Amino acid sequence: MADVEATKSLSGLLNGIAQKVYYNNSEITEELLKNELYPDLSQEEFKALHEKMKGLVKSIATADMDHAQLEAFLTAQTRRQGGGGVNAEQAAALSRFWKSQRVRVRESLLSQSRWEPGLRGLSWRVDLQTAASRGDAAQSGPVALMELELGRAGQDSEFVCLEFDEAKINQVLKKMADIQESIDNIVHHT
Amino acid sequence: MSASHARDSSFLGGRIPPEIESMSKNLKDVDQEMFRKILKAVVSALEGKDSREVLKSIAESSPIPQERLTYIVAGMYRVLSEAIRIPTSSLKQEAFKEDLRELRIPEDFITDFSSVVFGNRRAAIEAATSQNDPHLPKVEDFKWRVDVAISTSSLVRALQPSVLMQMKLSDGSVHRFEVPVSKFQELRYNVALILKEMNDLEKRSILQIQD
Repeated sequence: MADVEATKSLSGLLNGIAQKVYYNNSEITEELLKNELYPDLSQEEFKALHEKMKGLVKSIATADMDHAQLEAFLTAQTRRQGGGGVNAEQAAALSRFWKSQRVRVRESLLSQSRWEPGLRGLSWRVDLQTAASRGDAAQSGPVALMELELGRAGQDSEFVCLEFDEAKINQVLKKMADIQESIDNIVHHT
Repeated sequence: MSASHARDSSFLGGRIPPEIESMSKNLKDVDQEMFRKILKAVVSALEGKDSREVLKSIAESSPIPQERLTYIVAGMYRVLSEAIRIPTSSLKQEAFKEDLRELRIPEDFITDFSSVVFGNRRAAIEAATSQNDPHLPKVEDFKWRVDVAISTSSLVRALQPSVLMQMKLSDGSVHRFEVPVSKFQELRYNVALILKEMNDLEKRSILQIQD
């Protein structure tokens, strides 16, 4: 029973660290983690455990370890003597944690090195212009109205509204095909 | 009541615009050659060309006093722009002519007006006037670059491709933004979908609405 509790607390701690360090959740504090997960530990003991886990997660995350790398890393850690190493339960908890959080942590780390506003979403509408103040427009073709949602991490979105006729949409689509080709080239080479 | 009065009203609406009324008064002793010269200048203005120089030379060379000339030009512009904004399916050539006859415009001039409104210049004028409709900005220039982040301050091996796009819009603004590959797929898919919708729309030509 005690082992189950310890594993639960450790998983909680690792997830808490992820929330705090990688997902910008400011509600999670070191104090909260201690009170909720390790009320029986002394302040020093908890601090040591917290720092150790934080360091391990950072090493794993920065290297974006795959399964084999992680196993090798954790094996090396369990063999370390003294306070620096991890025990088998801790290694298992770290392994489980990384399996579930790897993609999200990586995404968060990538976004830390992204400075231009990113494309967050788009919505569009295709219209037929039927009339206007200055003339009948029945024979003009369909018009696409597009709204791009752009924003930097942690900032509010900015919206850009655009209008395209069919010829322009065609051109843009052609460019998209070029971009795709360019991405495929890179992805195949790596 | 004659047959021509069976229609509800003139294409000019219930009240004849003042510039058209004063045009018809001022056209009395204008000869057809002069009329055609002015008409040509007005039509090219409607087509979005700069006709100031042509009008200036007409004003300098013509015996018509400049004040009367301005009434004529303003009236012609109004007649043509009012007539062009009504689809030919709603405004028939005969009705148009009849409306002008009621304004006591000489028959020869009516024929000339009619050949502009219902002739082969119409498409060019419509295209030019539609430029003045309210529009959202358009993309004038679209540049892109595909980057692969090799390594960053927070990730030893990122190896993550992303697309940097830069769009220059017709309102002069420039937008630069990064598109992660997954978002790029979404964007490409949607652009393709838009094109498909546009093509379908043209095939269906749902605008065959008759009034």
